[in-house]
Amino acid sequence: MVRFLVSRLAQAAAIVFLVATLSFVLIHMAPGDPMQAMGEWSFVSPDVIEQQRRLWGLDRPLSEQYLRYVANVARGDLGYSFAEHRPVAQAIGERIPNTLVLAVAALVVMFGVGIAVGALQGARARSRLDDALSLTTVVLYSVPVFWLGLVLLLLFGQALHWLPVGGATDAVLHSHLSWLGRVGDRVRHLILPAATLGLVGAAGVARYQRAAMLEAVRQDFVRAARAKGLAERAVLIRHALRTALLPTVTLFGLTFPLLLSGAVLVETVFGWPGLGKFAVDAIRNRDYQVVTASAIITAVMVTAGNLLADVLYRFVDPRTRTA
Amino acid sequence: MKPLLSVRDLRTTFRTADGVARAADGVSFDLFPAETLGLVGESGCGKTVTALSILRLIEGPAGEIGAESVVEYDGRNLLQLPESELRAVRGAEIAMIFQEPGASLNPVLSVGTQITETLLAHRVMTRATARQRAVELLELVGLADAARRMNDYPHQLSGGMQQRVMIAIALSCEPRILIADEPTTALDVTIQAQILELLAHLKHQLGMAMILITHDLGVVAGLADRVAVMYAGQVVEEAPVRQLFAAPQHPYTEALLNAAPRLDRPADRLAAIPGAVPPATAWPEGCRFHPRCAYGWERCTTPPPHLEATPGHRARCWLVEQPSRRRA
Amino acid sequence: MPLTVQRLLVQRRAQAGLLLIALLVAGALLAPIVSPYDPIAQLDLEQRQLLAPSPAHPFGTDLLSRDLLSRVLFGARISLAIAFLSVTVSIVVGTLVGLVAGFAGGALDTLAMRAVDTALAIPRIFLLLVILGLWGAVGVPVLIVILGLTNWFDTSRLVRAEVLSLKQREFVLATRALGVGPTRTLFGHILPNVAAPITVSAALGIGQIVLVEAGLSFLGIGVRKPTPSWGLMIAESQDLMVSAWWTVAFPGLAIVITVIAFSLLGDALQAALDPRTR
Repeated sequence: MVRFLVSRLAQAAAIVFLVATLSFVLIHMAPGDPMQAMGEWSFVSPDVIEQQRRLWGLDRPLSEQYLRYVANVARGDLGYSFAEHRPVAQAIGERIPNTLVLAVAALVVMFGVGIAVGALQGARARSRLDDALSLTTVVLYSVPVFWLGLVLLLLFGQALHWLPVGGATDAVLHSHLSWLGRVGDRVRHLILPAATLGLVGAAGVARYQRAAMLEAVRQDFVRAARAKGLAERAVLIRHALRTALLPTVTLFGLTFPLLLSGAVLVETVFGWPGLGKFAVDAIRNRDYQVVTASAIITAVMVTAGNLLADVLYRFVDPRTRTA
Repeated sequence: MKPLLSVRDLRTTFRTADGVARAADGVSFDLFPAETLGLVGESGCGKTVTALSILRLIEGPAGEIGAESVVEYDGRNLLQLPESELRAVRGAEIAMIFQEPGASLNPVLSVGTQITETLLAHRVMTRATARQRAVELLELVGLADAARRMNDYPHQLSGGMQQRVMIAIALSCEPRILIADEPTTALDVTIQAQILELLAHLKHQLGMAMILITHDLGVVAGLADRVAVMYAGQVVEEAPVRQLFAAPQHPYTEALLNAAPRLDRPADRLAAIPGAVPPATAWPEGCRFHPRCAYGWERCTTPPPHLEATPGHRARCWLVEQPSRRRA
Repeated sequence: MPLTVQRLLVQRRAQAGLLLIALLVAGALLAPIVSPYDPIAQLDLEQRQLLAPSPAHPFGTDLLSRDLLSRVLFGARISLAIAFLSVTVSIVVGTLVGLVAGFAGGALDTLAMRAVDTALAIPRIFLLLVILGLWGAVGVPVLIVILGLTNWFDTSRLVRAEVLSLKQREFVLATRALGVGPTRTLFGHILPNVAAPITVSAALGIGQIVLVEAGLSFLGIGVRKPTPSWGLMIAESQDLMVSAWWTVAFPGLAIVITVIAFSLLGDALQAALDPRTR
């Protein structure tokens, strides 16, 4: 297990390094001066501009710039945000927890709902319920996540007034609430964005889980379990579903990039102060270092997530543990 | 003596793309207490389907057991029992082991769990007692280092060991009948012998009746008390084992015996049965073996019923009534 | 091949999907003829702003008094054109990379797969944010190329896996024994076998790209105004949602129907090519 972890960590580091390289390549392939934003910001002092030039070595040959860039990234120096007048790392650092909270909540919805629906469909394959659920998942799978967000916002926020219409916390009341009240406030604001992001993903997971369940139910050992006289529920859950979950766990790792991509749109629709919204705003503000830094950071998050998923998988499938 | 299990007119069909396959088409036989009945036939004759039908393990909607079929056990028709009562029979009174032990064991559950869950499903006992009993069972089936094996996973065991585990699971609740569907076909020859010996020994020790399904006549000769030969979804001959080998009544049985290579009759070529097994969607009219039979004549267009040659020995063949037709 | 087509067409979802696609493509191609109005013409800012759906304007009008039905139809032209063309680019690039990497093996394979892993580590939208952010406002052709070049990774993996499994099979060894050169083997023998998963990939990919392009346009970095794109239309109207639901509903429904059509087709294709997944 330790050897496995070490090798995967090394792989992860290599990927992050390559992502930084890709970033560098893209920055330099783009038309214009990589620091062109600086010319657009008339109120940034010339000293800061000079400092940045030196830091990133813009007056040096390309190869040296590359090395400096990588070294900076490795140190955690991701540049300077001109919109916020502070290091990008700091600005992003504040946003990451919000995106993580949203992503994790969406993940729970996604797999919770997805597995339940998919397993149910698999157990009742080709029934009317299965057909109805299949139709639902195909539709949900095809809905643009930002449109779903707007629709839910319209319905639950503006029409029914059950849930807030944006932000992570209530702009006015939050600081005046008790500790419990503040937690509740945050949860209320989390519901719609997490549901939006989670439901679209859940449709995908359900489709996958249904197929896995159909495959599992056909296996010899399921028939053998029935022959042992076990209750049908035990057969379906302990034998069929348990093995049908394995492929879904591999799906786990694949969902991280999709979740983060979706988060960008959801955060924009709901005004959720996360990394995605920050990156989109940065494009509008021409704060390019934020944009490239966010690509690197999300790559790190995805890689870390994949590593976690791999460890989880080894834990769950005993066949991978031995030999 | 009253039979322990009585299968009468079992008909199991499957809806396929090519029509309705009548896999088991009027199968009838009896199983008496503590005897081993060999169910013999080539692939596609319906023996596995028959076995699965006994425990109602046929999957709908494609598969269906005919409403007039009867599987009588303990005074009840298993095919008509409510699900909860049937569950009490499965695994506890009638147990089954399958051909591919590796595929029949759940890969993500430990061996111990798979034994204890059977025990806990049918008997009232604590988990600890169940585990203890499981270890005893593993020792009974000859698995070395039983206590450690409890925590192993199926993929860590060899084929022979997996089959021993399956047998342990099957015997856990001391069933009165064990159905063994080709238990050794997927194993190496040397292991085959060991497993068969184990089955014989346990059968004797526990006084179980056994239905041994196989295509291998050698296996039958060694273990069975009586044999039922199946062809094209029907039982074509039923007899005590020695009589079957000494004086087979049905041409198909005769052909099977001739086709098996023998040390005392060296031959240049093996005698194959001409023709091929017809598909289950289109059994021939009349006697089903008629198209491939060496003795066939006009009467064979009428399907023969079971005719008794000697007490306890019957065959579905007109030759029983007209033995003169049996040319050399 | 005809057997697969038969197996495809017999499925209800394939029929539904193909029907929808036919309607969409027809609508897109015939848009200039069929649309009641010019999609970017502001008809009458005083009288015809934000009209609810009516016989004169079946989908209503937007804030700038543009007819929504016309805009949705022209939006179909744009979105479908972008989707088909960029998927073509990504299929071609992905297949080439997959074929070469799988067949050649060794350092070339490792290099290609590391590049793919790297690109896949960045969530697609962020990658597009970087590229589109750095390049600024790009026209539709450049957008198509960018979308195509950022979408080929899964296809290359798929193709490579097929190639690897095919390489082991006897017929490839047989062609080598007969002295057939690598290029001919690759294109003449291996490619036809890879055609099946590629087709599924393409069908599903079109639906995905429609969603990606809609998302980018919604964020303001995809198709730029005044060109009608469904995502852009939704973005422009989101503040008006409460009072003028049609400005957000119809473009959204158009996207949903388009993606459903290609998802159904893709699923049906997959089922036709591999009967086990039914």
